Amino acid sequence: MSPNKVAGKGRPRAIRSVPDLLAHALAIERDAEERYGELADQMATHNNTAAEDLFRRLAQIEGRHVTQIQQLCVGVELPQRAPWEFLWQGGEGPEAMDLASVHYLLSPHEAVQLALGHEARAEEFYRGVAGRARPAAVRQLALQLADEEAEHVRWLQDWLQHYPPQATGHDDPDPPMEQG
Amino acid sequence: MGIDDLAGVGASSADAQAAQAGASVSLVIAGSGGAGVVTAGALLLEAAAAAGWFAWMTRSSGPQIRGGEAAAMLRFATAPIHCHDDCFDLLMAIDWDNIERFAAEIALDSRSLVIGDQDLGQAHESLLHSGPRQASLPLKRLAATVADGRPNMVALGAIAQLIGLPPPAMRQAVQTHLARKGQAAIDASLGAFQAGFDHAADLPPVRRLAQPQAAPSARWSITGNEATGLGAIRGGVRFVAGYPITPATEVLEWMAPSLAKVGGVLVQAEDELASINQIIGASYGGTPALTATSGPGLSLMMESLGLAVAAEVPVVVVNVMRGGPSTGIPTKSEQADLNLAVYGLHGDAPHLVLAPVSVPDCVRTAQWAVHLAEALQTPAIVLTDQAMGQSRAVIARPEAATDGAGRELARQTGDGQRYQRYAVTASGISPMAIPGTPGLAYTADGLEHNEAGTPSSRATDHQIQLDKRSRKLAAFDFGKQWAEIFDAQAGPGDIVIITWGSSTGPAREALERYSAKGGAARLVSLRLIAPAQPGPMAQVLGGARRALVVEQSHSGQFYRMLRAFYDLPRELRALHQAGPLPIRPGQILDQLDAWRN
Amino acid sequence: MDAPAERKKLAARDFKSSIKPIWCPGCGDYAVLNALTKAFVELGRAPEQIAVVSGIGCSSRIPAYLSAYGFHGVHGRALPIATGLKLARPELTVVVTGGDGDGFSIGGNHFLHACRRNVDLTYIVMDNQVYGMTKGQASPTTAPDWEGSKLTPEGTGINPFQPLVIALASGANFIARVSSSDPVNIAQIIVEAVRHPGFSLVQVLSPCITFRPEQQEWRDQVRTASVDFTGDAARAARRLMTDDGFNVGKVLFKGNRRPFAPDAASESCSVTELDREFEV
Repeated sequence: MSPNKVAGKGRPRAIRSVPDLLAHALAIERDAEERYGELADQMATHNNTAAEDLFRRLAQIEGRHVTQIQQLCVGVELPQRAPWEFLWQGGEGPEAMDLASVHYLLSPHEAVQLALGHEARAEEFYRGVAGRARPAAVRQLALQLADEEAEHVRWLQDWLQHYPPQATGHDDPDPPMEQG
Repeated sequence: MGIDDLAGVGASSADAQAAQAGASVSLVIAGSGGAGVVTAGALLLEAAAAAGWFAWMTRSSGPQIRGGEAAAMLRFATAPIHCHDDCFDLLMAIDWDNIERFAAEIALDSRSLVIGDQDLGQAHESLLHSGPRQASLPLKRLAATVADGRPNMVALGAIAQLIGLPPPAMRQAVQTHLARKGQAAIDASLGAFQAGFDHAADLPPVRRLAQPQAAPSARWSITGNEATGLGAIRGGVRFVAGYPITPATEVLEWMAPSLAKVGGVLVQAEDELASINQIIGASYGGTPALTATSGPGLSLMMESLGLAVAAEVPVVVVNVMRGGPSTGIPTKSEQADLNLAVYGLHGDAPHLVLAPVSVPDCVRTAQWAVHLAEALQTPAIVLTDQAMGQSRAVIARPEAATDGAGRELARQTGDGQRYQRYAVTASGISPMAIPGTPGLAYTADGLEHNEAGTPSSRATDHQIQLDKRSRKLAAFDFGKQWAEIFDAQAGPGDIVIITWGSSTGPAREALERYSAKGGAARLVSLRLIAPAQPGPMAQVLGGARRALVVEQSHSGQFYRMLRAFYDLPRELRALHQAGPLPIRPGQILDQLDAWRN
Repeated sequence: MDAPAERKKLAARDFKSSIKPIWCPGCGDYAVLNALTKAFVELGRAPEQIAVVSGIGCSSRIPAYLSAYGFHGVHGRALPIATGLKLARPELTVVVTGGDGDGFSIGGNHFLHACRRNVDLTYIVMDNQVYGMTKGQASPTTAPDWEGSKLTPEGTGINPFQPLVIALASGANFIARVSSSDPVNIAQIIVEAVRHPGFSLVQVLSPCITFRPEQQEWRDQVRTASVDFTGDAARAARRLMTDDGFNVGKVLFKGNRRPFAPDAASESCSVTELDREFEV
């Protein structure tokens, strides 16, 4: 959503407990794992092996993050939330991995940039939570999660070095095919 | 009875012959502008039924919604009848307005009696060219002798006297019919009836009906459209979606309250495209479903019938044929939607087409159609026509019947394998999952698909599914019901009449007359039009050197279909004519006679 | 219809089938697919209790991508299929999906009557103002001056179809517009739509990346509607009069018409009793 949209109700409220923060973190990582998996599938269907491989790796990495968060959740009763009840309602948060900015001729460089944007927003989210949270335990966990995201950002920036921007852009000499 | 014996007989002999009790009596009541012709016909039929006779009644009318000219054609007999005779014994004209509209339908000969009211004019010349006898009955004046008396009741009185209908039966019919209008109305009608009855003693005689059996078997009064609806409900239909169209609307109108009584649902849809798709949806959900329409509506449904074939969803579509093409003649009968029903789907889309052979057979065939559609998971088009659908017949009570198992349902295998909705089987029939069943969710699709139902454009998948959908029909044992076979008493002989639908009635009667004269022939009326049954047909045809194909179609659609799918005897003749006039038994008999040598 | 707290809650991925979508990466329909899976989780129904019915078009491929029961029908006829299914099986949750061409051109008549009839269905239309599957012709919601189609190179020149206006005028009981840029919001609206009795319309602005690449701008043009839903049709109509097509994210209208449903099937007689009316 554009920044100049009218704010709806559901302005972010503070996260008040560790279980609540863990619930949010789990949702972020799970969604990221699924979205990267879906993007990998889309690239596979459209024969873009390079982008597919990249998204699969990202999905796997997110899968490991999920496992890490799940370990933190052992013995913790997490609040049950509908997807729109999370703090980033309105798409300004990490959930908004922009599916619309992909293209079947996405280059690995662009794929990494997509992931980079997601991780950067996740870091921003956790820092924001840390800044607003009252309980110390919440602040501490939020900062920890933010730092982890910052590390993901650094990895991805490294990857960018290995995948220079593509010269041809999204240029396909073949016209679209009708299907029905 | 040997009608041809009477050819060329003079007037007094005609009177004498007419006075004989016959196997059937045929009459027409005609009139216009509120004369009450339709009511008179209905009362007469009710009275005759109560008196123990079998009956057949059709109606014709002008295009006006009310006040138009109308004619009720009735035939009574002591045994079941399924069509009109070659000629009418009696024409009772309540008035002469626009009666020439019906001249072609009111076949008369020199023995027929035309009765009209001289005070209202003379018979139109179009009715007189065959030289019928004429008489006058002062209907208007006689009606005036009774308070609120009406000419149509006077006419009924005269008819009752002429044909030998017992007055108590008519009195009972009047009382039932007019009960809600009060005693005064009943008295007026009975008074007028009596006036006509008494006065008719002075009229020339017409053929009279033999007395019915002392204890007649159980009989029903029913139209073909009602019979079709009943058969469908007996077959298990519990969802109907439909759009009104002449002459099929009564199927829907009868089913609306009847379905509700047995826990079913009827929806009036916005058009035929909605109707066919609603029943596909209901059937996909597990409920046997049906719609009823006529030619123009069936044309609209073709695409979605193909969807039902491809996705293997059972549905039944009743098509009550009318004069075509296009808007055609909505109130008249024809047998010219055969091509549409058999060939109308795009692609190779094998499916079922059935056709009842008579009004009572509508019950059985509609029920059978539901069973077949369910068992074979495919659409079944049931072809009746206006003559069958809107005619009211007094028939012997149809027997109840049971068919085998219906839809084969899928069960969870529990082996974790994905459910194969369109799995290849020996029979070609794949067990069907019903929504709500866990573990068996699938997407039905009009796109060609693989065994799991996933869309596929592969050659192998297309071949496999085409083979399967074709095999499931070709491999099915339809049993003896595929056709109705009538043998003449004299044995099969070497002539076979092949026909279908409403043409069966006159063909049957022609066969009976031919047999009474010593002729030997056989009649085959196809109840299963598609898929073709060449094996059983060959058995029936065995020994026949000649075949006469009879149908009510200008281009001979049935004849061409038979030639396409069946091996027929070398000597082949076709009696085919367009509607709206029904084929008469005498026309068919003439063909048989001409061929006898 | 929600699951009791004790029952194991399914995850969104449990509502996806093993078939991978063939939509172009960047297609707005991916958001709707995700939204549906999330919505089904929140509704608490098992996959076999849900049926998804579609017509023909890119968005109509959705049923195969879900683990619920599905029907991929012919062009324009999803609503009657869904109507028949729901009336025969009222206990199922029936969702209808399709595009603007399938729904408002060939399917226009059924759309109008479905709103009138108000059977308990939820109709999700993925509106990209183009016929994608047949390579980019104008659809009923295309602006009259769009010149991107070979079939209408000078634009259609005719007024676009207004689905929300038609829905309101025809009696739809729930009307909302959402944007594919916010799948979580779509999920929330779908849950509300399914829960609301009667015919629910959810129009999704869902850009076509291949034939209408300029629609990527919609992301920045849409705005969250400034007011919550109304139950007053006249008020909803006034809002639509000043609607530019980019107000999304909230329900416009929730009516209180009784949904069409046949009287509860109470068998008052057996089939053989139907014979009686014919007996002479």
